[in-house]
Amino acid sequence: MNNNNKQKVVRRIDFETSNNIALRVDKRKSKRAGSIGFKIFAYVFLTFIAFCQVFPFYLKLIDSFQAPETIPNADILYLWPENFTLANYWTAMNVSGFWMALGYTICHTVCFTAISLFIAIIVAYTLTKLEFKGKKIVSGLLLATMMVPGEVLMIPNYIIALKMGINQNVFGLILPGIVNVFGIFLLKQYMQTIPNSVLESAEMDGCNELKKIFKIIVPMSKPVIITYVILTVVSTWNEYLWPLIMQSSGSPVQTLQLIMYKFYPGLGNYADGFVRSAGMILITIPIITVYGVFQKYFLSQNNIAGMK
Amino acid sequence: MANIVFKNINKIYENNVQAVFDFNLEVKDKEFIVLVGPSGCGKSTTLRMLAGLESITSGELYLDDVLINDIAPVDRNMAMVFQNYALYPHMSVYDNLAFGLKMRKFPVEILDENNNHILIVDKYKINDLKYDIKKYKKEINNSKLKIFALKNGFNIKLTEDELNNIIKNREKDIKKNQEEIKRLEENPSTYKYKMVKMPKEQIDEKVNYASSILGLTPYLKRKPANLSGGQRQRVALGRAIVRNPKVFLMDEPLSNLDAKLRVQMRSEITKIHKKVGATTVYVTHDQTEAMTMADRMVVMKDGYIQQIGTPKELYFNPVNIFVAGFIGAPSMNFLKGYFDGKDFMIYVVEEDINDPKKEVLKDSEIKIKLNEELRNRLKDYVNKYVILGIRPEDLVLFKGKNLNEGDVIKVESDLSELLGNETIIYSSINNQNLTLKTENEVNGKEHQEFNVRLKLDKVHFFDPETTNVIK
Repeated sequence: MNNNNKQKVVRRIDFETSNNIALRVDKRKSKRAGSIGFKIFAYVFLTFIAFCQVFPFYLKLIDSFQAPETIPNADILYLWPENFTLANYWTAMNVSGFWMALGYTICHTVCFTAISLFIAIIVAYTLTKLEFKGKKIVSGLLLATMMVPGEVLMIPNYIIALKMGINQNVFGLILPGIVNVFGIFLLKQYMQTIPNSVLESAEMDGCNELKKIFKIIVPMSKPVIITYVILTVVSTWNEYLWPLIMQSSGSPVQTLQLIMYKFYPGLGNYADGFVRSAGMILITIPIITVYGVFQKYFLSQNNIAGMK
Repeated sequence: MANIVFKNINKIYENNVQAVFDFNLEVKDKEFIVLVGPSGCGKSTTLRMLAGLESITSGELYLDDVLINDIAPVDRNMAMVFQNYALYPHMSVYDNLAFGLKMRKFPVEILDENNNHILIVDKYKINDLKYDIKKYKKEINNSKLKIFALKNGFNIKLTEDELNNIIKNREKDIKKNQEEIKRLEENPSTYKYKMVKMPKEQIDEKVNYASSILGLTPYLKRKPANLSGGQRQRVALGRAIVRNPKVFLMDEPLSNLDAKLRVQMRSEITKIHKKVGATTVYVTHDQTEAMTMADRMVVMKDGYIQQIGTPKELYFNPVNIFVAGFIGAPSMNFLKGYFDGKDFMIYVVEEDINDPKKEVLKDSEIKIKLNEELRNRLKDYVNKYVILGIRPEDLVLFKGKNLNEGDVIKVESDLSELLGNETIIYSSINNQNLTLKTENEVNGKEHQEFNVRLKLDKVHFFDPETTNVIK
């Protein structure tokens, strides 16, 4: 009896009638994705989030243009400077050590990005396009290092830097973490989409491995390389903790992030605040420029089109 | 000039899968050879071994009598067209065509003041000989080790005498090479030359020539992404033509194109082959392509060569069931039957009740009367099971009334396809499929009985065990 009951529970779907039901769907409810209603919602939502992100930055920008003698009224939200001036920028730039720090930061960022990119390209190419024994083990080990948080590596890195003596110059900033596993996997993922036949064809055209990398692979992975450059430039430029550790070990190297406290020349009134804003803006300008220039290539796929 | 000789070529992949078994082929100069077979038959592997993209496990590969087993792809002077074109997407059409020329360096002879060649010692050959000497020395050492192992009671396939022989021969070879080196060092034998990159004007000239042949001149500045499939294919061809290689290799170059373009490119490739005149090795799984383009075809299956010959030979004289069934569309009909010394009795094929994969052959009363010549051919197969093969166009609808002539059988139609100028009728007799092609207009009714006459002079017989043709 029990068995019979259980069997009755199973309902068979009559597909012919279910087709007829599908035809009688409420048209108002069945709208295709991308309808105007959704578009309006998306635009409003995205605008709101973008506004939340940009507005504080805008307030700082206005602050930096205020004349030093201005006394801001706490009841007013300044959307435009009362007396426009660039004097705060001039003050910020003349803070002691600014140009030195700028030089160090640029050196750090450019060298780190360039060297780590070079290493990432070579390693990613090796892991995707070359055949050798133990390839899976190597990439597995590399991937495993991504699980280790950067903070854990700080003490060993610090000791190594001290022993090598590189804590006395800019190499102390560049060398630790130069093998960027994240970058390797980013590039590797992209290079896997490049068909092997292109490389074989290059080989028959007379390319050796290096030429294959720099004449074929690199130009073809331009979008992902630019993505990597943007991400690395931003994170290296903004790096604070490691330069601070190096500085505490007696390094003369000061990056912009380390001298931020100096944008406080003690002018009195509210002028110090304006100078600080100008200093912050100064530090962010290079990154915004880099992003602005390269963002149209940001992971654009149009380069790889036309493979078939 | 480019002769290619494959001698006992084998390919075993690292995972111990053997893709090519004992491949022997001689390709003559300016010949258009097509390797054809179903996917996974080893034809692409063979081509890639020829290109140097895949290593050769054993056997010898000669290009113009030079052993090229271990020569890098660049130095083989071959150009390859890939299935997915393998264009460089970041370069314009012009750069794609010119890339192979830009990458290479070409030898140019250096002349003295009186425009005479300067003779120098042939260093390359000496290095080559020295390399061989090293190899021989290694072999000698290996053999000595083996002898030592033999004396200590290890099991080794070769006997001591054989090993000693090897050592003796290799020592002789070393002596010969050393003498040769001495001779070469004393007598300067080659012209002095330097490796030079091709000048831009010359590259320009070659690219323009190739693009004019292929009708690509208006598109030279475009990137591959902005070209149609056919144009991309032509760029890929052009890249090969520009280099003026000894051998063209093509790996299913037309399979990414739509049907109409494929037919068009087929004739274009044939024309280009005639114009350029280079030896071409072409791989395809499409037997129509193979039939229409090839000077000679190589039919492969599971890594073995089945038959080599001109399209005509393969079509009219297939050596086994596979070749007979693979070449020609629709493919050849195979009727299982029994030869009783006089007639061919068509079996009734039924499914085995116990094992659906097996089939049971039962006697029937339908017989085909064979003539003297066919009986002679089958004289070793009296009272045996044989397979009769006949092409669809060799079956004719029979509308006469005299059904007792012996070569007329009654079949039942299952389906008919109208192709325009002809109709293909799929029918069956005794549960065996029979396809026939006819130019007559036919009423496309299913399950209709009609009479078919076999052209007995076009019939092939196959041995069911070896699958070879009975001659």
